[in-house]
This record gives sequence, C-alpha cells and structure tokens, in this order.
Amino acid sequence: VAKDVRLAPLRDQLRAEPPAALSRLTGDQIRDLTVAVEEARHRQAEELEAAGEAAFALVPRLLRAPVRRMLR
Amino acid sequence: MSEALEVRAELLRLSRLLRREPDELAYLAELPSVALRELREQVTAVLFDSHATVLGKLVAASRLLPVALVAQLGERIFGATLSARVAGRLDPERAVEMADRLPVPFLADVATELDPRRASDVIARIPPDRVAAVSRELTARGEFVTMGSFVSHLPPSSIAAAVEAMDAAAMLEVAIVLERKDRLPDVIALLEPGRVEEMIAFAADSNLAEEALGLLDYMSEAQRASVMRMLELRERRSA
Repeated sequence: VAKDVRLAPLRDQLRAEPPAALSRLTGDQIRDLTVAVEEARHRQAEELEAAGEAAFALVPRLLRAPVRRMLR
Repeated sequence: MSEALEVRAELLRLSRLLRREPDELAYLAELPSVALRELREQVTAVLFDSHATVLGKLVAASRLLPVALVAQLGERIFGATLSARVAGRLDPERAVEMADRLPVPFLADVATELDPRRASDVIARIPPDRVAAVSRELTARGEFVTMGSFVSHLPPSSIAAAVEAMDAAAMLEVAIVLERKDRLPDVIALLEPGRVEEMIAFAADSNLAEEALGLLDYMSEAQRASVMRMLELRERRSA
C-alpha cells in the first residue's frame, strides 16, 4: 500500500509511521493534528527549560554548583 | 467497552496529552479506537522520550537533594505534567517517599498526566491508603478513564483500598473503561458480594445497563453465574 504523502509531516513529528486510518482525515485535519503534536513538544521543551531555571531559586546555595554540574 | 466508549476514552487521553479540549479533536472520533490508541501511544512516546537527556539529567541532579525538597520542586516549579514525565525515571523508593509528602490533589493531577506503563514500579509501591486517597479525589473529579488506566499496575491490596474508597457508580464507570479488561475478574474477586449487588442496582437504574452487561464477557464463569443469579433475584423482587 502506497504511503499517504499528506501524513509525512505528522510522521516527522511522531518519529513513527502514523496509523493508516489517519488517511481518512482531510488535509486540514491532518495539518491540525500535526500542529497539535508539534506545539505539545515545543511547549514541553519551553516548560522544562523554564522550570529548570526556576528550580535553582529553591536549591540551597551549597548544592547549586554540584546540581548545575549534573545538568550540564 | 463499546467501540463508541473506547473512542471517547482514547480521545480524552489524547486531548490531555496534546492539551487540547476533546471537542477540538472531534474530527478523530470517526476513526477506529485501535487507530486512536496507536496514535495516542505514538504521541506518548514522543512526549515522554523527546527530552530524555534533559529529564535524565534532572533526575540525576535530584539525587543530590533531599526528598522533601524534590517533592516541593515538583509541586511548586515543575507542575503535574513535567512531574508525570519524570516519575518513571525516578528511583522508585524516592518517588514513593515523594508521593507521601505531596498533597493528594497534586498527586491526582499527576495521575491524569501520567502514562502508567512508564511508572509501573512506582505505582505498585505506593501504599494502599495513599492509593485510596487519590482514588477518592479522582472519583470526585469524575476521572474514570484515568483510574481505568491504572488498575492493571496496582497490586491487589491497593485495588482493594481503591474500591473501598469508591461508590457503586464510580466502580461501574471505572470497570467499563478499564484499559486491561483481563484484570476484571481479579478486581471483582476483591469485592464483597454486597458491592457487586450495589453495582448491579446502579447499572439497572442508569443509562449504563448495556455497557455493564458487556462486562459479563470478561468475568470468570463463577462470577458470571453469580451476577446472573443476582439479576434474576432482582427481577423476581421487582415483578
């Protein structure tokens, strides 16, 4: 069965072959789903970075240097 | 579970992962549940594995800190979603200690964001009384799909504590959306006959009767016979 080329961007985001049934979706729907996955990944990266920085404020000064070394 | 309920449960899980309202993904409702499940597992893998290096370093660094502080960081800074991403990477003993220090509403938040398969070791070690408290909170929120995903990762003592904390309506709702139906006989075996009767009574008076009858397929022969006897008795009484 030929791969649905419309699913290629979603395949990139998922790093896996999307279920074949997704070919039943319209182009707009596939794009929306792709954007949703992309946004979720970006949001997570941003939140992770922000939380990592904010966490330092609560880490005792004595431990900040070793913790920072572990995070490098 | 009927195909329609299966689809609804998968859409709920997927929308939570993508932080969309289920309505925004309504266009997926026409797809078979098996495809939605595969898609949800792919999205889960991407989100849980995308920042594996950073998450791994965070966990390594957290070992330098006291458990109480890590719990505080989880609740105040990282929040439920990131805590759920990290949970399965933590040393189970430390994770359980943390769970003991965190407020129940926060643990319930984490539970709704967690992929139980990735934190099975941690979930299995959480003391039954804590599981019961979180179950109570999830029941109050109507988080039956979340609870249905956890059952197969809990030991019998925790399942018993959880069902003790739930009323008949909640037990039936969870049983219907149970992710691993093959565990249903084990769960039913933990229930007092009176509780099964309560579930039957609730099912009969609710719009879930058909879904509840579908559960018979997953029960052991003895359990099925026992439920049928209860149903007959109920019918005779009401005749």
